[in-house]
Amino acid sequence: MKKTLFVFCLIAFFSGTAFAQLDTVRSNKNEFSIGYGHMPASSFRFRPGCMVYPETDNIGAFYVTYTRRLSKVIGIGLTFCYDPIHLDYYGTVNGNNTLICKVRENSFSLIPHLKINWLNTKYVNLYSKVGYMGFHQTTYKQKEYYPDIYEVNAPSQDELFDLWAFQVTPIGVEVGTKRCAGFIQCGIGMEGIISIGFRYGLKDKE
Amino acid sequence: MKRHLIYSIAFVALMASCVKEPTIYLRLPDEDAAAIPYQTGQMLNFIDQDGDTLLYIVTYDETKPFSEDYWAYPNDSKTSITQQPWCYARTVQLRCYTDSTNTRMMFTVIPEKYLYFYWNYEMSLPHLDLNGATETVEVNGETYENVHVSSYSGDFWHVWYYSEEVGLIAVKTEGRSLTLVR
Repeated sequence: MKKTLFVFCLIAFFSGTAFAQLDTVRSNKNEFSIGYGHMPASSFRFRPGCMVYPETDNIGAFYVTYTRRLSKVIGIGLTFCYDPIHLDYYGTVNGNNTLICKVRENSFSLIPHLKINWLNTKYVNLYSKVGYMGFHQTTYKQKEYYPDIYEVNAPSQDELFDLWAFQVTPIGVEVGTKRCAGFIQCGIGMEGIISIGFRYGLKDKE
Repeated sequence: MKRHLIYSIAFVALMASCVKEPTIYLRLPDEDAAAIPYQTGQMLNFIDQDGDTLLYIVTYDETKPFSEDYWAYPNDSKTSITQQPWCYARTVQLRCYTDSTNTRMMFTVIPEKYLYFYWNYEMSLPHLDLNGATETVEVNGETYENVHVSSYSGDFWHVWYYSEEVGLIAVKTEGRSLTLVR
């Protein structure tokens, strides 16, 4: 009960703060942004007990976001993320550590999100974002070098699609003008642990 | 309760969205698989520590993905994170039908000729490197060549003799033994 009350007060406080700035804050109803994130969840490895460790090339995720602002505080939208993943597996062949398999994956996800602007000022915005139950599709290609020595089984088609794409961003900062701004955000999910990007706001109709 | 639910959902989301990886198994060459010379249905006689003759029959012969977990924790696999298989292994089981306890022996060979031996449910002996040195030994009046010997002195002492041509020749531990009858 106390927690609920606390959250309610918090929302009321920040909403009040935001509405109090009606004359000064940016209010683009339609926002587009592009960004790059380091270490997206789609590149994480989770294989407890697995004895085979690939060399990975963590390129990071690229994403495009559209947000429709319902008020100055709350916005909803969609994020499309693309994460190319390179995995190189090495194994022992005739006593030498040799490349036995190359895997090239492309992870695509589409996530609905809720964006809350905690602080709106003329040049700086602070926001949080949460997205969940997004589509997540992975394309998968592998190349085997020693099929007579190693058996490499690709993941099943079922494994390559799920509805668990997500993004949780506790804090993000936008710095710029009403139309254009750069941003940096921290969180976990398909947009990466830390990401940077550029936001463009469409001019509202009078 | 709610917190656990949220943690569970977050965990599943994180797990499901992870990178998709192939499963890679080192194949077992035919030459290595042949290091266990038994075939299904084959019958072998052994003499135990009391001088009784026991008939063992080969009841199982399969090649499938292998994990060391079974050998490290044969009776309680819940004590560790299950290791995922990394190679193919051939496992052969011999079961004794003249003994009321239906004791069994299991041999597993993995690539590069490492042999695991499991006897009587209660003990798993150290694996044997079949690329190692061999000896000529005399057991029960018979002479065997190219025999691999694994021995350990001290508490839980053991000695076992194994040949790639014959299979298990003899195994002795404190209070128990089996010797092949030809």
